[in-house]
Amino acid sequence: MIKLEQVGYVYMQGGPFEKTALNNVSLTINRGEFIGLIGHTGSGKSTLIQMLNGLLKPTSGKIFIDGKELNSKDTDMRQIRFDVGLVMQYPEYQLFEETVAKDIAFGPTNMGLSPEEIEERVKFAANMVGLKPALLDKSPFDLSGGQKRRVAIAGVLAMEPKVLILDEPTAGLDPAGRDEILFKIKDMHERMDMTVILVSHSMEDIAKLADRILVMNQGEVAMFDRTDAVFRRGEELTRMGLNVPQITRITDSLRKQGVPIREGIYTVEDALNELAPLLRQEGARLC
Amino acid sequence: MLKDITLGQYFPGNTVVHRLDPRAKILLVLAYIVFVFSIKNFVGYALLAAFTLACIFISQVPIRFVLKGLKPIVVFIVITGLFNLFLTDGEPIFTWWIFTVTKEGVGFAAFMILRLFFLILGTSLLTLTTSPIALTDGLEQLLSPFKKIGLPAHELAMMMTIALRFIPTLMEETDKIIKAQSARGADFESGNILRRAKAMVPILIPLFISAFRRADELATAMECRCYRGGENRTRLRELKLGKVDLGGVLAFLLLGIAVFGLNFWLGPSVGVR
Amino acid sequence: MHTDIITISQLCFQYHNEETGLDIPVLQGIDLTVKKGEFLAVLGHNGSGKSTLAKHLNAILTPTSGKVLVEGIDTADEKRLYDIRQRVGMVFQNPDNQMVANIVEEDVAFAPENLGVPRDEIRKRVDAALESVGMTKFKQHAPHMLSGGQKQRIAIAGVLAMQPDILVLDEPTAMLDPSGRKEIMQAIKRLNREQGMTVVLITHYMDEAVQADRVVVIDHGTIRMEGTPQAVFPKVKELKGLGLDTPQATELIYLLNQKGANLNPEILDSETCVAELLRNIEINR
Repeated sequence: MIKLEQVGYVYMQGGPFEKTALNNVSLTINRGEFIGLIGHTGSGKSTLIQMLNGLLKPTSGKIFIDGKELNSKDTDMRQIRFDVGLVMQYPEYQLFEETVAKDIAFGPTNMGLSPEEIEERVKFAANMVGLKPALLDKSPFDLSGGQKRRVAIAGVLAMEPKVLILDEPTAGLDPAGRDEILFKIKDMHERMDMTVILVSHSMEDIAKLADRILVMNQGEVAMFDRTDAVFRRGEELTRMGLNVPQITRITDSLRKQGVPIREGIYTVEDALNELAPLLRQEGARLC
Repeated sequence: MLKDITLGQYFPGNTVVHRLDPRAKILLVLAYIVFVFSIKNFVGYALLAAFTLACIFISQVPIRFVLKGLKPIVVFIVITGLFNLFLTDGEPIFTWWIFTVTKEGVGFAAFMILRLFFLILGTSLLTLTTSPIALTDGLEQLLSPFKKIGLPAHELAMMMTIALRFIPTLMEETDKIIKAQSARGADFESGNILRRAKAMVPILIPLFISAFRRADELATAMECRCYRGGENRTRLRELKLGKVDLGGVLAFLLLGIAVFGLNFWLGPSVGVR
Repeated sequence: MHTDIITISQLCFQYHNEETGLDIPVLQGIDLTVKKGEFLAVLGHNGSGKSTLAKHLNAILTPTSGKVLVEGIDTADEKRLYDIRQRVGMVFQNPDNQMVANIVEEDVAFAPENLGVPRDEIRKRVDAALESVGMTKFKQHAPHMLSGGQKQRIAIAGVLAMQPDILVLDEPTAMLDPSGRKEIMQAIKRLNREQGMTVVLITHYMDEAVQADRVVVIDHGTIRMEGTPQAVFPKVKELKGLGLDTPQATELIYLLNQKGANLNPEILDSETCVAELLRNIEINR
């Protein structure tokens, strides 16, 4: 679905403040995958996602989306924007229309769809992110923070992209709001058969959802592997200034001290299942 | 990216020109402007040019930075010069089609160009060698005597400070919003003027809303830090007139005497009104 | 840690909704004291009323009914407004929207300038404030060139320059990345431990509340739980019901106990969790 070949990006090339943001990145993401993208600020992850829908052009290398080469003469770059939906950080700040419905319709309208099709898509997208139909005629500015963010996500979803990229979709939300958004994203991924790239600082969030994790460090791909395999390399992650979930730290530490539990545990449920049989209580084993 | 644009064009340094008190510097530049428009002959301009060059040299600001200030108004200077060249009555030098160039015209055009040139040069040197915040402080203090007649000197200065503080923030924000709307397929490049103006709406509305939100939050934060206008306010930075300023004033005094003296002795050059 | 520095009694606050004409209650009878030198965390989900509570601590809002006393001064007493504001320093969520000047030290000087502090004293206060958040190096920088965590530390220095007795921070890390969040928590804890600053931290991140001396959980404008983090967080089910998280360590122990284990539930961090588990697991059985 997505293929990068030796992609590099240099800010202000040739100038006195030249800065390499991405260096020789090659990777492939398959259709329908759920990718977690992590890396600290300045690791190149923002640059990477902005390149995937053509907001930034790589200064070297090639990017292919669904077989089409980005920024080549034969590719309609606006179509790429619709194929690769990007939800930026704090997307609620991009809302501008009088009503929620009109705002969600902005993308589909730019695609030149028929009014019926647009209406259909607005309803679908709103439903997908869990916005009640009664909210569609309200002003987006009268909604709560969490609702605004869902309107913004619906606005991208309504373009029915093949790839959905979300940059920190839970930033600033409280635990309930965060869990709800994450649940909706998982639901979309499953029901709409989209390829999803989720950028997050929260290892706990990524651990819950991703099939594979892409770790960026200093403009390069540091790791790109199955979720449990990445969390097995906790020490390396810590060295890159990234946290592993607390639960992984606990199980790793137990294993080091001789407790027979497997590697790569990253959810409380897994830890519970591993540990319960090991705990003895009045002579009887727990299960 | 938008946020990389440098604002005000302050060129940091620690030279005599930089160390001049901003109030003194503003007043001296005003005097300089008066000189620029009072000079009536080319010898005067030669003197002014020498003086200006000396100032630039002392300030250690590269000459190309100073000349950069001229760039935006080069067209304006040229047009002004051409107008004066062709539209001044007097003793004709040559005629081509409907255009007649006169001796007075040449002289007057040269004067207009020189005046604008030096005007921009002098004010550029002021903004290049004075940090925006010092400039604001200087203006506030210079305007404070007018408070009695109702001029809100402190408020004006506060507004300027906040504007300077928020321009980079809003630039960055504009950049983000443009990207966000582009990601939704917004098209800012094609179509006629009307369509392009309409395409700006999805950028301007979020920008305005955010600016108001920021203003609201900033006002609360300022209240929390006990802001209550300019009364009884003290300042971290003290503006003090020193030897440097006295030197500056003396230098300008000499320049003034020379300029007016030359006007008196040599009289006006051809074309000067 | 014995004297009460803030006393809130029966605090109610409501605002009038212009459109519907209804009065919306936000705070409904809060009783709370803050002790001198303590680090108190106020935990609650968005819309629980926690930010409204914070705004009552330095008289940005005043009670609809009930009383808020700061060092004995009633916040409703308008004549004492600046006495209260100077005693209670307030830091907000977005560091960008709290800074006034485009040079760091000028910004930190803003509050003492407003208070009419003499010039030499301002200089001392600015230097001390920047030092205590570890930002001395940056005093001549422009704020927009700094990272989020650095900007927020400047915002903290900006209120420290008032020499307040209490520091109230309203979700100071919500807009920061993990390293920024760490910087701020370290700065807050240092101020509390080393300078004895009374700290009230408003947050919805449990991992920040865990670091406090005492936690107050608020929901629908009322206090629902109160106590040390060790006492509050083991109530996993109750907290989840209020839309809040618990540390994974606490949750693991809780779930194991649900399955019949007999572990000490008052566990918040991984080290104590590992120790507790090891004590109960028979490895060489």
